[in-house]
Amino acid sequence: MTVLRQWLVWHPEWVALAVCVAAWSLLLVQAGQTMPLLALCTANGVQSGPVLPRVLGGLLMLLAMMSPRWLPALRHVAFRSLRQRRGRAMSVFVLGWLLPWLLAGLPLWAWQGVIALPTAALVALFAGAVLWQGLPARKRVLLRCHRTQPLAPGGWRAQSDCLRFGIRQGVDCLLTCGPLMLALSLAPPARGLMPAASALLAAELYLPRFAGRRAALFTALLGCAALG
Amino acid sequence: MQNHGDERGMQLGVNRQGDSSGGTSMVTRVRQDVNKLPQWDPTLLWYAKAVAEMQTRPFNDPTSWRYQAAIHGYQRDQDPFASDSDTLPSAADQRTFWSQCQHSSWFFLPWHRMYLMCFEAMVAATVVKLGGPAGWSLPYWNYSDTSNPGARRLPAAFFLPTLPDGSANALNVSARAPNDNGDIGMTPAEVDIRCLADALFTGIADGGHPGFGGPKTGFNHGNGPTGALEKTPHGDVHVAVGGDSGLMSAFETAALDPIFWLHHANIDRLWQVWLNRLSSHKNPADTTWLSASNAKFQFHDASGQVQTYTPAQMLDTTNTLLGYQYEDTSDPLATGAPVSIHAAVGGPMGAVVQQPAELAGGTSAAHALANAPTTAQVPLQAGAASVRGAALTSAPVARVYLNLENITGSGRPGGYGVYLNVADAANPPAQSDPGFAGTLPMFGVQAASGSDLLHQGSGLTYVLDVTHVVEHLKAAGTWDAHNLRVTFAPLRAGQKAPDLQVGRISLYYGD
Repeated sequence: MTVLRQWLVWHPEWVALAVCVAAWSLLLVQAGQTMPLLALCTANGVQSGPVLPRVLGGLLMLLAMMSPRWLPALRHVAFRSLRQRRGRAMSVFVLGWLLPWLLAGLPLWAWQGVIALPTAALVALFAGAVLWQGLPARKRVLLRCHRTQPLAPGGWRAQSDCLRFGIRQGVDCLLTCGPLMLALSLAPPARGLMPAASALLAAELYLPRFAGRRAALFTALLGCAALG
Repeated sequence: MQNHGDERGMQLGVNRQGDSSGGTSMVTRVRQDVNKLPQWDPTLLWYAKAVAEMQTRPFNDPTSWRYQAAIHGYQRDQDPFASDSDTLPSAADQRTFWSQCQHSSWFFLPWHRMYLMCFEAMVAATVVKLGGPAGWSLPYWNYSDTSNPGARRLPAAFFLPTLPDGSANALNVSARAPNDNGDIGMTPAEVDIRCLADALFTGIADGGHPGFGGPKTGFNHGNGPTGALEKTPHGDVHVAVGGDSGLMSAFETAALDPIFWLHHANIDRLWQVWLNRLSSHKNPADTTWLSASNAKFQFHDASGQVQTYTPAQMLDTTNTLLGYQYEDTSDPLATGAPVSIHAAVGGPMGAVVQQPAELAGGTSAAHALANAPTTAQVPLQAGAASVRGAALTSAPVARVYLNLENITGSGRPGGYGVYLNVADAANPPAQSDPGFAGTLPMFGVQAASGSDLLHQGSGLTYVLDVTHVVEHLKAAGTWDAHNLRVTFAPLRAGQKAPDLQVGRISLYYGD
């Protein structure tokens, strides 16, 4: 077996990385065209126009930034599923994960017009995100992002279990990452902040000692960069 | 290793070896088998005195008994010694040093080795402070010694109420399972050491073998599965000694029982025994295990200074940092028939597991455990084995793994025996029956089930290698490729009715 094939066999969650790369690639290619990159990052400066491209753009940005956080859960879903329904199980999980985010993000992406918050409000949003980073309650939710749950192997219960698992993970992810994502969405556009934020959110998941105060400091730096 | 003979007790297990100049130098201490020590051997007497002294130290003193126990786990509402007069360490210190035990993780063994090293040094320093000799070493409790009929009993020093001088014995703890002259009713299955036949240290959470030492994780308090040694005998002994309300049965209180340290010394010894068994038995070589940022753990040394250790420093017990060796690390599986079929057919199951295990079937709903035997029906896909075998390589399916996933519950429930396809599920046979698959200890189930600052709430996940059971069932004509019956029988009569449930029972084919 080739080394690559061996790696793919042992890491079925590679799909999340593929989604991440594909989404960032599409966003960068589309920048300045029908889906301006920066307009997807922030509602500040979004002009009136068709809703669908903005919603799709928002979804792409969500996939690009957040798919690295699916890795442990997708791995669990893959290895705990029958081979013949592994792809379906992972897809249903991702769908479940997206649902809370779509509910939270759609109002913003579909908003017609410019959202221009005063600086004080933006500072408050980032300050809230920084404060949230350091709270024990958030740490508890962040730890739940590593949670596993039993999955029925077949039948309708298999689908519903994967969907429920995805929703639970999506909700926990929204709770941990939502405040920062909201602040960045409403801040003035700044290229490079989104990949940095994505790296931060992934790092605190996979490096537990980075979470908490170190992550809060990094968040504060992001806020300064966004507002500076 | 020198035979100490009559000098054993007086020297407290110090091993003196000749050096190249012809003189002798103190090289390593010897951790001795407590069952081979006289009842009040100086090692045990000084241990009792040191424990009593450490118990008088304030809670915020890193060298105090309670502080040392809190390193393993601490919940204020579960602290039997909690008092309004307690002075707790700062919140920052509690976050850094308390509740740090690594479970269901490849860090389980090295972290506990660090823990024992620091504790032993503190006790040794306390012994000297009390006027005792230098060089005190922690004994180990070899409960699996089949040559000793009393091996599974608590050593006498741990249940006698007084010391020889009539003073209270700090090693005697009332918060344990009931015992009759030290007999806590521990069964051979609970101290089984078949894990020593496992080929690989590191497991993978794919449904296949969890590894001798546990799965690869980051800093971890348990998100399943649990490594083979950690399950049995480690988890089983915790529950057997602690019972349904004792100190040893929960993460948060286990280290308050003085027997905890001898128990873990034996677990530490078994790590060395495993390494010694075969040249192919090796510790992980990954830097993520040896020395990466997630592999750094902080403890206080005997003088109360903070030190940072990595597993890379824990590989050789005779190095200058650790400075000990065990009285006996001979291979207990060297005589008689090999326990592991793979060991019998010429060695380990390959240097590397070639492909992930394959799910063959599982339950669709949680199975509730009770204080009487219960049985779950596990539907299987008959073609799963051949699908896996043909899918990627031409290697035949070799092993069968029973996964007991996301076990949740509360309290300190007793363990269970697991059987496959027994004829009379209401009255399972003896543990010596070929249908017996293994034990299911519930050590830490409450902590693992809760979502808090330390745990994800996934519960416990155990993997049992049932290859030998399946082959027996096939030979007996009682194997059903479409359905598996799994019976759970409480290990002890009168176990409290628990709220335990197994989230999913599944069968995997793997290497």
